[in-house]
Amino acid sequence: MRKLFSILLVFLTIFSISVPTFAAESKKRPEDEYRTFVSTDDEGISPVFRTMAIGSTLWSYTWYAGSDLRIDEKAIDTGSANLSRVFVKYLTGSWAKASSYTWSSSNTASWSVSSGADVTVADSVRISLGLSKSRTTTYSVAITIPANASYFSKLGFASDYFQQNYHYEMRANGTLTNSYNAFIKTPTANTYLVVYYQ
Amino acid sequence: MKRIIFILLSAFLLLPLGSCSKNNESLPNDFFIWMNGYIAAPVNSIHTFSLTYYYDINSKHLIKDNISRISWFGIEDKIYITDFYIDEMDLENYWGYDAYSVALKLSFPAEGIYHCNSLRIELTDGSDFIYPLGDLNFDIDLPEPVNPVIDTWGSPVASSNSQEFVYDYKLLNDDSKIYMIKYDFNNQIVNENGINPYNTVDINMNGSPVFYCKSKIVVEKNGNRLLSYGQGSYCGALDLSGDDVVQSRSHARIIQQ
Repeated sequence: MRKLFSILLVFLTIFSISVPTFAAESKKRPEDEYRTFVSTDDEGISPVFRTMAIGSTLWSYTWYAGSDLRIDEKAIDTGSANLSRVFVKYLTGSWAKASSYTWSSSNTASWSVSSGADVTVADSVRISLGLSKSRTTTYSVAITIPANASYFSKLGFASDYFQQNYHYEMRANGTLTNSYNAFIKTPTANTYLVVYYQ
Repeated sequence: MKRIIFILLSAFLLLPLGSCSKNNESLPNDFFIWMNGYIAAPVNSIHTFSLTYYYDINSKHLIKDNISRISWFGIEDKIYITDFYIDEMDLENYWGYDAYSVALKLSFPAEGIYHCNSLRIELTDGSDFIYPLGDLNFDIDLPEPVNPVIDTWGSPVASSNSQEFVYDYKLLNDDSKIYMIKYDFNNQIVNENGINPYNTVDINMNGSPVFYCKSKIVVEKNGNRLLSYGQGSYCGALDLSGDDVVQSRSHARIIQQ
């Protein structure tokens, strides 16, 4: 029994030496294990992995109002588009004839919903497609931004967006009670700094 | 029982050896963010662009007020650094480092192709240090025409995608077309029938997390080919990750060796 215990201890000793070495090799960055890496993708998955055809159901939900009334809600795909470099916001105040700008803060591009659409439904569609609610760029690299001083300009932030169009329907015991067309726009991984000219 | 105690003691003594890493010992604690680049510019022009210096505040590092001169290692007589501006960066993603932005005012006295991958930094006490940056290719060519033929100011100046160069140019004459855009030392797009003035092209980063691209453009107007230049774009600079910082640190060590 003592011999068996000794063998077990020797085995554990060897194992305790080899495991960290193996872990270091597999990660290749043992020196940085203590650091916290912050994702720049705030929540969801981008870019969109799209497999659905137009006309297919993006989201559906069935619930009961009382014991007799069955409510069916669904959002049907009516098409989508990739939007390039959509203006998000200005990062500088007034228009100026500046020769350069500096950038030193984070910026966030957020999702939006077409006016009149139910935000809860829109959010359900967004989640079902695995789309990001927002995307934040962080200040980690120094950037010198030249500008044409002959014209008034502002520094701005832009992002690529994915627009998902859908048709929403609500039926109570099979009878259509509400419907509308809507869209959501969600930021993708691509963000930009752009000097906008007046 | 003595044997068991001996084995247990051996295990505890040997345990720390197992977690030691040779890599950790030789990595630099101050380094520049790895940035490859292609910088095309007209001869005798001036251009300012920035580098990013990361340092561990608890280790030996540069003090900005002690820096007396900065030059390109090996091409100091070809590409001048006429001035520099160093500021502390208020990093939002801390990653254990502090950082300086190092803005370099460049001038280009002679036409030619110049390669450089390191920066020489001289201190007020007379000492100097060589810091690896990345593969930078300078392409200094003819001046632009007096009357501009293309507006390049509306292009993105920085982006999060390190795999793409996004350009958005505007031709200033209806009878002109873009014949060529050179966006990397080894890559260009050429089309006799004209190139789309706004588009995205894939770039080969060769591992660097950030790529600086200041493009060279050839515009064809009335049968003449005229040179123009982009304003510069930091591809990948808006989405630097912790992995990118680690890669930059490792890259600095490899170059230093």
